[in-house]
Amino acid sequence: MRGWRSRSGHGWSPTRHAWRAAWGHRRPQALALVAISTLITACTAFAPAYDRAMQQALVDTLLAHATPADAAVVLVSESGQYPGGSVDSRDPRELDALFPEEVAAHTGPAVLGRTAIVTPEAGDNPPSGVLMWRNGQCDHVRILDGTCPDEAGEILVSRDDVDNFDLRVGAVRQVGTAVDDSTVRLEVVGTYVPDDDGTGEGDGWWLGERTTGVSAVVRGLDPSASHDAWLTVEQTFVDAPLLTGESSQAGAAVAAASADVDEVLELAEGIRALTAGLYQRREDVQLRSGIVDLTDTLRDQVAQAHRTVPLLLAPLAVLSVFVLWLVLSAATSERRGEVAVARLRGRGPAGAAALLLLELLPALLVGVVPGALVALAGGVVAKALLPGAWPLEVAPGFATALLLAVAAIVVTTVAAAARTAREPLHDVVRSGPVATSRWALGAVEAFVVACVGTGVLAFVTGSLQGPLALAGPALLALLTGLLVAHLVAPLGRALGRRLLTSGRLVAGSSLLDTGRRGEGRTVIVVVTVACALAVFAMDALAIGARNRTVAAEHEAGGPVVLQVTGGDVDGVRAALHDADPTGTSAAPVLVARDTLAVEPGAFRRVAFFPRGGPSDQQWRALAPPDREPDEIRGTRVALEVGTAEGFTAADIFGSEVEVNLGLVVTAPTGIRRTIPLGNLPPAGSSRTARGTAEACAGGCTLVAVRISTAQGATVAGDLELSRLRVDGRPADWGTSSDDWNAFEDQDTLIQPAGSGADGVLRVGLGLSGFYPVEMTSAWVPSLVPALISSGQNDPIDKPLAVTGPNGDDRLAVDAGQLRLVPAMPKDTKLVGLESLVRGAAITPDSHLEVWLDDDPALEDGVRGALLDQGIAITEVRRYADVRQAYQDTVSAWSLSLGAAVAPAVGLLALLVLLVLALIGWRGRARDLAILRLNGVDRRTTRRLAVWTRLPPVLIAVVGGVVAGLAGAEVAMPDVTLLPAPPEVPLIDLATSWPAVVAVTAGCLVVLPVTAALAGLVVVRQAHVERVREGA
Amino acid sequence: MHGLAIRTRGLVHIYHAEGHDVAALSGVDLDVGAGEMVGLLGPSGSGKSTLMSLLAGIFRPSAGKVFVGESELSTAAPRDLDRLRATEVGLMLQGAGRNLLPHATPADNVRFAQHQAARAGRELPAPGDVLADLGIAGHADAPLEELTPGGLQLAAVAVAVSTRPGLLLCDEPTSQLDHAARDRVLDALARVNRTYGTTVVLVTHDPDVARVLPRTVTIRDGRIGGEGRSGEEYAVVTADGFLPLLGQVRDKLPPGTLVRIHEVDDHFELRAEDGGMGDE
Repeated sequence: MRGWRSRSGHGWSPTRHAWRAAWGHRRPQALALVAISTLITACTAFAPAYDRAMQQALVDTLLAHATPADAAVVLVSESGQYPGGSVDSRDPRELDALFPEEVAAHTGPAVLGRTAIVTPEAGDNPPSGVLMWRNGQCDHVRILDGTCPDEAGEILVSRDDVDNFDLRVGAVRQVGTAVDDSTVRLEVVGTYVPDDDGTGEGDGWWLGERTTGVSAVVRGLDPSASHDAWLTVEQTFVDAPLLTGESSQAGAAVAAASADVDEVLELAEGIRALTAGLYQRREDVQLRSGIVDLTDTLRDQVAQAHRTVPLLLAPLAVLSVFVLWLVLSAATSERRGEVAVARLRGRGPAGAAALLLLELLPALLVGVVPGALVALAGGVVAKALLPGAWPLEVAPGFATALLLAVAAIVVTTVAAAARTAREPLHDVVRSGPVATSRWALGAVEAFVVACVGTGVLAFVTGSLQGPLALAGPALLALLTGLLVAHLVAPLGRALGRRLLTSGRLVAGSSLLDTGRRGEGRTVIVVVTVACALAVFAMDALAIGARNRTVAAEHEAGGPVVLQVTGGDVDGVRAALHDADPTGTSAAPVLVARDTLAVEPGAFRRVAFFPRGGPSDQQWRALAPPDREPDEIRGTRVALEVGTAEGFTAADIFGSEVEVNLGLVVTAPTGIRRTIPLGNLPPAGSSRTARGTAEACAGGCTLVAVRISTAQGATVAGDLELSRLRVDGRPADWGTSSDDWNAFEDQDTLIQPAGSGADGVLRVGLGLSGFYPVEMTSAWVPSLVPALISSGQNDPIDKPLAVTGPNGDDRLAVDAGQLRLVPAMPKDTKLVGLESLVRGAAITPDSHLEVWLDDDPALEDGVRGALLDQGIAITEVRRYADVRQAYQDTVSAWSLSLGAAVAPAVGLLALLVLLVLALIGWRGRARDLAILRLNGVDRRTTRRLAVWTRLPPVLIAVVGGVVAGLAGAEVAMPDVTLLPAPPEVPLIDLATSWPAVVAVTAGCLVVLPVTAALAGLVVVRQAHVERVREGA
Repeated sequence: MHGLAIRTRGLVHIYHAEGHDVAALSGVDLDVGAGEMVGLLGPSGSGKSTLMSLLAGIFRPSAGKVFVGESELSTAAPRDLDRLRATEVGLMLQGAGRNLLPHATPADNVRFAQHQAARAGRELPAPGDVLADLGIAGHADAPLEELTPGGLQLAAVAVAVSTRPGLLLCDEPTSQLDHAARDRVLDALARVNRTYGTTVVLVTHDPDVARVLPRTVTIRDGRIGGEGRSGEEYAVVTADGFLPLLGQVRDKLPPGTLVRIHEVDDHFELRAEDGGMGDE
């Protein structure tokens, strides 16, 4: 023995020991901790990265879809004229000076301009149009002929204006001004075409101002003409007297290619401030911009994301921390021996905890770095997947999220370490934790179950509101996991004992082990929650995709929809017959306010019915009356008209009034005309009524007999109509009561009678209301059969009506219910086109469309055929575009997170299985070695090692899937599936079974296989020598 | 450095198990002088290890008092107990591995054990010297897996004595060791006791170990059942007047036997009423 030495000889290095222990001896465990930390950090930091990416993508999408006018900020000063004088518009430079720095900083250079409406003084049909100046305008047009204007009064005109108005270079026009009779001389010095894609709107530089495409001459009874924009120099405006509608402007476009979220939001704030300032200073300047609306849309959609993203990511974060807690609990429990040594050497709980932290925390903190990199990489992937282009950036909340992740990791680790280190010394010095064989719900667990159960109850009953409601699915999954874990323990033990008694060693031991080990309960809780979240996330993803498809199909109506001019139904039909002879790929459609009129045969094949279409019987019910129309072909019409004895016609004072008779005819182009036939003869007499119908020279259809008189007059008695002649020839027309529709309401009775065998049409009249009244041909349906979209109010006292092609109500009959009428809002009707247009005028109150398959060749053919018929296409709607618009929304992008959440929770469950296997492998290997020592053969121990691990995993997967489905059932109504709430009932929240089955199959394969492999690895370590370990 | 004396009075310890209580110690009065080397003997479950834990401050007694040196452990604050274990009391649990950090070398284990004492200002031997004293200097920096069971036990002893404690408590320090290793461990403990005056209390089942100890205390049914000094067995009268019978007498006087005690000259005579044997 030697004497005492100085204390300077001591060299205990906690860091070195922690490094050796963690990296030298528990490397797999350290790597697992790094992996969990990486996952937690990645999930936490990815949230702001993805959120930012969605915002950037949304801004880019909104700006890309915005019109140049909306994506610009324009200050306009208009001139004014008053009885006592006029006020000039301001100098554009003054307007430019009004732009504050916060607006100018986010827009391109301002374009100054002046605009007026000018019309040449001379000519039969002088064109009106815009005269404009924009500084730098000649850099944004292509001059075809002549030169750019240089002097006051010089103008550039479009090519169409040259053709339409003979405005060749050198042509001079005098245009009027807004004051007195003075004129301004304009001389054409060149022709131009805009630098654009042919839309006439020019590139963004023109800020949406249309320069060409307006030039047109309309001839006929009401001729008119318009010219394209004439480009001139500013001096033209300065030198001239005040021109009509003269205004000045300064406008700048948002730099869409480089604008990011922050800039656009700042710009919107700047615009708001500028608007408020202009209002306060009472400036006579208007501000025009769509940026504020755009940012409102941005905020709305971001608010949606802030509901959906936490719904998916918050449970993942909670599960991650829960898994970290479980793993750390297991890891610190494994180090109880070291804690005991530390406590025995006088360290105290704090010192023992420090020993644990020094080993565990570095590995976890190291994992933060790859976690941050993974999150950044996720942001890059999101940037690549989402539309738009913005510079690579670190999201604003990224650092905060990292700190949050680090804080969660540190707090969890400290709590786990303190939990073990603060155990009473006599407990930690025991050889190992005492396993209880009794089923018991600890106080803490009971509290957790009670809290979670209360949360679930509140969630299911709808009491959980706001952000808390987002935790509903996770709470439900957690409650399921906790309850299953606690129920499995006693059931597993009881069943296991019974199986052991009956000699089934492997099955009995497996179940017994499931009930005995706390590890099994941990696995059940984690795997249940993980599977539930995976099912919920993928189900939500699939439901979202399905509903976007449904919404897009409903909104588009068909693959391609061409809106056409005019109301020439027959012309459209003829065009489609040429382009689509089979009549299967293109359908004419008439849209009249709340009514969609279609040709069932083609329409049912072309249109989308995402929530179910009409049945065959319903389609058949839309057919018009099966009758041939009566035709009038000629210009002179004569009809024998007689009134029966006792026929009366008196006004409200009882005085006799004249009653006018007419025939109503329709032309193929949808024009409805009345052929006046003069007054009815006195009672008991007859006469030949005559009229002319110039429009019927080529043929008209007789659709009604019209009677008109003074409003409120009473007409009663029988009328006889016979001997219809056209151009002196007898016309073939129906005179029996079956050939005409009777009509009756409280003011009107029109009753055709007789068989018509004598060629006389007898009509009983009892009229006392509003005029004119009509007796329609039986060829015209008296009631239009209509399929009614569900959810409509149907008051008993209000007859069902559809909107006719002229905008008037038409009485209808209910032919059935339809959930959605394609491309129509709520409370609409689907009717047969033929039924609706028979006998009706087609006015601008309705419009015609052609719905066709998405086939470029077909579309070209239809376009050509329509042009041949003189029918122009005004608008094109494509399903692909509408679908893409729904795809490019925050609601779609945020639900897409489900595709990342499901693998992430699966990975977490895998990690838990692996970490628990790593931590407990020695004990299990020793147990198996003892069995081997007692004569159990190798095959049985292998089966035991594998089967022991499977029951908790399998039970948990089933429990998780059920919990996930229940969570989706309750939570999906709160999930934002579409950018705006639909006004029609198109949302379909039914479970997406393919997604659920895929997730379930994945979980049932990957997790049990992992558990079984871990068991096989353990059994390979079950050497007989291992029995001595721990002695 | 002086050894620490031990004194227990009316020491009672009750374990609260599931649904019932078990009295491990039922009134133990024990005095161990400073610098003594004492063995605690007794059958399994007699309360030896419980007594050892009470002496180390791991448990607090259900009743009674425990004095280690001047410290009264039953009322000491946790911090004071930590300080005591860091400096004054060395404890070796049964099973060498339970006394060592598994992933540290013997030298590092010694350094770890000395760390708190050094911070408290104690002058301590160098770890190498501690290990050398116990004959395992050659394994100072070897992983524990490479040590023999005897070497591990010596390393555990080294850790326990590395702070030169006044009291060394050893629970079964020689179990599962072969004779040579056992003798090396016992020799090391004796040297610590002899060289530094450290009071050594060890629990053992091994009669060979008990035989070499100068004093043994037998615990039976939670009480002091007897003492051995220099090869002689003694019964110990407890504070409340009980006199436990030693092994060979107990065999002859089954429970329920009525005995009469007579004082005869300078000794006492024990006589069974049913005519059985009488003894001193």
